[in-house]
Amino acid sequence: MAESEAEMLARWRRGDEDAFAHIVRRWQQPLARFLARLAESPDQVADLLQETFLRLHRAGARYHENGHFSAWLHQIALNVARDAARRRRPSAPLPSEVAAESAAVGEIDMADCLQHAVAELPQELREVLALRHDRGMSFEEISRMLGVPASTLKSRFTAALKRLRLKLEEFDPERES
Amino acid sequence: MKCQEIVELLPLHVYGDVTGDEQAQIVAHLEQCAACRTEAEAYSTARRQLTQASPSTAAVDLAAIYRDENRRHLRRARWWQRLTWAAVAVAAAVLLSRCEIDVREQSLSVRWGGFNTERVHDSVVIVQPRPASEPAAADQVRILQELVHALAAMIATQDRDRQGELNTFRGELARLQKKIEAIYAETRHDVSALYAAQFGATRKESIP
Repeated sequence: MAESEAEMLARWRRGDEDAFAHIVRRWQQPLARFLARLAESPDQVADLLQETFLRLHRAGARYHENGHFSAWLHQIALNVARDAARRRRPSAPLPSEVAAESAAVGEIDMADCLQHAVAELPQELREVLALRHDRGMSFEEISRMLGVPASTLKSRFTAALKRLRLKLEEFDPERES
Repeated sequence: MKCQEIVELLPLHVYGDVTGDEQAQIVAHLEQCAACRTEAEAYSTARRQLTQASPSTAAVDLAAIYRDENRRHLRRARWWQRLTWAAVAVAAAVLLSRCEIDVREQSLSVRWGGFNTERVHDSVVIVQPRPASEPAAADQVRILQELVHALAAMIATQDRDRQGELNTFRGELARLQKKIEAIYAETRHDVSALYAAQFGATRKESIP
């Protein structure tokens, strides 16, 4: 019989490492997708994911079961992504530069184009895009999570979609032909 | 609503994040406006492509997490160990700088506080084996000291007497020595006189 997430979390908080391994298996792919939206390059995703679960392991004793484990876990991932963005080396190439280089040699497809377009968005736009589109959270929920007014979040989301749409049109092969 | 207002709301409309009233107005507008329908379709495509372009998957290295945690626990343990030793060293230094240890014949006292100023705490006697017998012991010591002094005085008196006797003996010895010399001189004179009477000449000195 499948164990409920609350029971699994309770076992983990009592120091059961098997329960932690189960939580990792349950959440690693959803978090990888979430972090892929927040990362500035696909290469970062594995490191960000690893760091997220490392922080989760350390913070386990501080978690109090209230039915919002998912939100708590995503908040950790968000903080990890923000820290990585702050540490980003100034000399690192911008995603647009990488995309332009790849496009020049015919290596880029629509998915890569989208990935680079998302990576080029400012951090706060990437965050609201990941939380609304990938996590399916409402603006009110995101507002509570980030402490930002819902109206501001809607403006950011609208701006993000506009930029993505323009980028996709630029890279659309049918449009070019 | 005008086209510009409709286009502004289209990203939210695609995700169903507009109010019921706005939704009705947008739907009505899109039925009549081909340009706005194209815009709406572009946003729908963007949303679909975002969903289809599944970001890369990744797997967590659990062993690496456990290794990192073990290293972290070891670092923390070493840090606490160093802190403990440092605290012990500081405490010992403070104690020694503020502490006075007095070792006496039958007691060990430890005091703390400022030595050049008024003491903060009264002295605390840690070891005092026979505190009640201290007066008796002092008397014994005093008696012993008096006995030693008396013995020393007696020995000095005896020494003086012996010295006097010795001086007397020395004087007697000197007197006897002079007497023997006088007898020897008389005997020598007599022997010389007898020799001259017998042989008519003075005898050569042979006695040293």
